[in-house]
Amino acid sequence: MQCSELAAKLTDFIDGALDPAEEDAAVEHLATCGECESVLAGTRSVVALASRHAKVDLSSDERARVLSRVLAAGGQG
Amino acid sequence: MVRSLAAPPDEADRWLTGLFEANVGAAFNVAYRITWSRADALDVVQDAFIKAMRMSDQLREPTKARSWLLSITYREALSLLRSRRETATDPSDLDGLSGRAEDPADVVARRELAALIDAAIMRLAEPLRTAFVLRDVEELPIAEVAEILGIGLSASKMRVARAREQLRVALEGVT
Repeated sequence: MQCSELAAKLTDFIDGALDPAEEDAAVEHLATCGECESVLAGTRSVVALASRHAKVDLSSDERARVLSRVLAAGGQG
Repeated sequence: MVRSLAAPPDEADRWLTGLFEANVGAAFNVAYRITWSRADALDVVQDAFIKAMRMSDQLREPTKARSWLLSITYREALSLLRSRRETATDPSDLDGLSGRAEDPADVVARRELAALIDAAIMRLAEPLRTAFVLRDVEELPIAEVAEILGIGLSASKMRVARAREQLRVALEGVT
C-alpha cells in the first residue's frame, strides 16, 4: 500500500471498516512509514479529543423548559 | 412504539418524553454546532421535537427514531441559519453566527483544550462540521450519519475524513 492509498482509507482504517486484507496492507505500510504513522496518531487524537471535550450539554433547567414547551405544544395538537 | 396523533394523550406524552430524553443531548449538539448560539440551538431543538411529534406517523421504523429526529433537527438548524443570514443587516451579526471571528491563535493563549477544539470545529465548513459532530462527537455509525444528512455513505465518509484531516492540521501540537 502507498501513502496516498492509506490516506484515502484512513477513516475506514480508524473506524475498523476495512476488509482484513486491506487492513493488513495498511498495518504493513504504517510499520515502515513514519509520516503516515504520525498522521494516523494525530487523527486518532482528534477523534479521541472530540468525543471527550466537544460535547455541549444542556442544563437540567434548559432540558425541563424545552420539554415542557414541547409537551404543551403537543397538547395543542 | 409507533406513535400517532390518534394515540391517547398520555401515551403520546410518554412517547414524546422518551424520544426527548434519549435524544435531546445529541439534538442540542447538532443544533449548537450549526447555529453557535445556545438560545438558537434551544429554539431549534424545541421546534424539531414539536415537528417530530406532528410528523410522527411518518416514522415507519421505530428503531430509526434517533436518525429521524436528528435529521429533522439538522434541517431546522439550517433553516434558522438561512433565515438569519437573509435578515441580518449588520455583517457582525453573521460573524457571530458563523463563529469565524475567533481565531484559534488567540485561543491558544488561554491554554484551554476544550476552547481550542471548539475554535477548530468552528472553522470547519458546515457540511464537514455536522458530519464530524455526528460521527466523532455523538459517535453515531457512519450509515446513520449518511441517513441524517440525506447523503450517500461515501459522501459521508468523505466529509468525516476531510473534517478529521482539517482538525488534525489545526490542532497539530495540541494533539
